[in-house]
Amino acid sequence: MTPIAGYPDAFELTRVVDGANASLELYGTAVRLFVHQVVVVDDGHCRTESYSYRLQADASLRSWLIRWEYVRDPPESDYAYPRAHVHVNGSFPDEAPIGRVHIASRRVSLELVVRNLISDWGVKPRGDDWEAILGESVEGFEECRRTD
Amino acid sequence: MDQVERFLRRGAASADADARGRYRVWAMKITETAAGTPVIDLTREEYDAHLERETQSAIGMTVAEFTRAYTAGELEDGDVAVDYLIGLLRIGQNGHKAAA
Repeated sequence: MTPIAGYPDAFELTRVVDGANASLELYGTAVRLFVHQVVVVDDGHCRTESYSYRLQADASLRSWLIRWEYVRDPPESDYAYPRAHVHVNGSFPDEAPIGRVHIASRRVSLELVVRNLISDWGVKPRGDDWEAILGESVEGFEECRRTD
Repeated sequence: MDQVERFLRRGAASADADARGRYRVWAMKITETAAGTPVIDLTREEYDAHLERETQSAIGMTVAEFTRAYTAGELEDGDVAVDYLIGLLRIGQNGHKAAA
């Protein structure tokens, strides 16, 4: 966690390796998960300003497979895309790339992404109680969710 | 904590070289939350250097170049690097503009 200099109530949350933001290795699979959040403490509440959860084939940015992304406020006044969205690095049946399409979603918890990694991507949980842990953790997300 | 601190300080040393002297290793403070999460306190100069490194690594531009190109509509929303940097640089969030 890094407090954002100049904005005492804002924090960057991610993994840092050798001074750079980095993806996480996962048990049981070669795919990796990049997690980046900016959170702001506002009136005693922690609100997510943006998140980027990126499933990657390797450590490189361009190896991404799926991205779950969110920005609280549109980055530009004419930003037409859903603020919470998913990208899938694939193609339509006619082989047109689909990777830059913003697939609308609700705001997604990191716990839900982790569940998806376990259910569909071969990630092995470290204990048998993983569902209870994720369930308990996500309760706070649902309680505190102010916006989609 | 010692291991975490050594790990992160090694990163700071690399960052110092990248920033050609603008980054000051000794200004960085590392503490932990009660839950054990490392907290890396950077000065404004160190944080700006961090943003520059991330932007350069992701898209090969400076923060100023990226911000100008994005606001001019020259970069495509949906590109993995562009979407990442929008969040990292906090473009448009609560009126806070990028660090450039």
